[in-house]
Amino acid sequence: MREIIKKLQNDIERYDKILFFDSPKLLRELCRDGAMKSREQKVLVLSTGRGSFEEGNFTFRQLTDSEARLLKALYDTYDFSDKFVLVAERACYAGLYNFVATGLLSREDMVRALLGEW
Amino acid sequence: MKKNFDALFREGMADFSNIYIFGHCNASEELAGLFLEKGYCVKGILDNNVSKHGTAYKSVPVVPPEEVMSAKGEDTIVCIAARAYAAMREQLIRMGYRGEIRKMVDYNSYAVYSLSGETIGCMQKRLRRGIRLLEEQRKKYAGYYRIYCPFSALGDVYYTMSYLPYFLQNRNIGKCVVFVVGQACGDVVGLFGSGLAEVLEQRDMDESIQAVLYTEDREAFIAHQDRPYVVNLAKALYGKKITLEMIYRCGVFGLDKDCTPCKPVRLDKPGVLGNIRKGKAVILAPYAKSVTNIPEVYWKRIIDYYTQRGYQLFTNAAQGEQALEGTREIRVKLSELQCAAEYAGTFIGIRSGVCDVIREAACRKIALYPDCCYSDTRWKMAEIYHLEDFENIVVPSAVSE
Repeated sequence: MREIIKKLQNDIERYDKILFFDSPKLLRELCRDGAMKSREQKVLVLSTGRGSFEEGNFTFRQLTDSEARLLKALYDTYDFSDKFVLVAERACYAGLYNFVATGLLSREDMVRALLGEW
Repeated sequence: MKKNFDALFREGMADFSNIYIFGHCNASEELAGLFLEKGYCVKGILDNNVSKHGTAYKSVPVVPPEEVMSAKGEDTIVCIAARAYAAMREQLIRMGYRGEIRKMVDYNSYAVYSLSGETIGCMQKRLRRGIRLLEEQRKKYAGYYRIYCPFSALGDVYYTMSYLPYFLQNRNIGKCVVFVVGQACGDVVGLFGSGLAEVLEQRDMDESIQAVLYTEDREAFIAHQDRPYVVNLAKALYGKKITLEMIYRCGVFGLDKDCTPCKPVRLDKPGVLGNIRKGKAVILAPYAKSVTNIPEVYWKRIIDYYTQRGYQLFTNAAQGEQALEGTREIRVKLSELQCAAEYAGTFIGIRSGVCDVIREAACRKIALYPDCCYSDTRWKMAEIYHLEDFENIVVPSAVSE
């Protein structure tokens, strides 16, 4: 846990935004639609799928299952940084994807909202 | 806020030569009042809203945020009583401000921007309390789906109750219990029928919700647009203009854009109708918790206008609130307010949850909006909180006598 915390502290300092995708499926959908394209902000994308690589200002980092579990547990304990966002579809609260489903936002808009780009 | 204000004095912080408050709202006015009562001079209320610059609260001018840079950092303290503490703090730092910044109201118990061992330990302790609370709630309401309304806002709860039946239907949920903060919010739940409601203290609500998140409780739902921090719906407002009604309808509950809200069904007739002149009275609702006040002189104009035309005027006043001068106090339950407004014939209120409660009333309804933006978005309050079937009027910040 201490290692993960230290890495997280460094990431928070280094990146403008950190998106943690709980579901590789959601990340795949956003990437497929081209919503996750290169931007001015330095963004770290964490997930258990998709591998580790860089694309423009996006850094994709693959986590192990246990890393993902620990990170999620920490995030669900409290809000430790306004740069860190969990992107997930969960039954117990609503998300921006509801706006996408009802046509109020495009997927691109959703990513812009998550990144605080407006 | 009073507790944090007293702490400020104990720590000697109020001896700074330059005291500023950031963000003009009710809470900031209250804070300014506390300083003035103690004989301190508040140099200004910093605000990003250009239309407010040049106005004043008592002797305290509302000024652009850049004004704080004219003072020496080491002699300056900026107190923030408004909600958007993090954004305001960031703005000050980006501007190059190096003085003291103090949060005066904690709207958000979920956030501590630190990963220190001490912080993690403290927040884990908070979580454990939440898990215990959640267990008690599960036992007490075994077989019930639990809905959590995180915030003590009548309008939020009203919107939740308007769309909840569809949501429950879509998820094949039979019975539910709604957790709210404050009895008034419990009364709003009651407007919609025989639904079960339980009132929690804010701290218990926050901790229960944290536990819902941590345990990924599948028999619970948090019904809000931006609480807690995991809910991102309000972020859409930085780019798109979406009314609060649509945020709840489509965002929170995932319903179709054309979905019709349910209406309150448990309405009562107040005993005070005998005191009201039917069709020739006005009920004023000038008070709201989280909205900047409408200038007193504007209310005076309204009161004079209707008095000259032979109307009776009433102020809807809760405990601790005074009737406006030239009006009589009226105290009715939330379930009675619609009937009272219809009998009177005219309702004029600052845009607040009370306006939502009487939105179905068959009478003339006027909602007054302060001329400012919704949170730190670029949309005006009137655009986001717009009410159909109301006359929606924006009141300028500076109103002359």
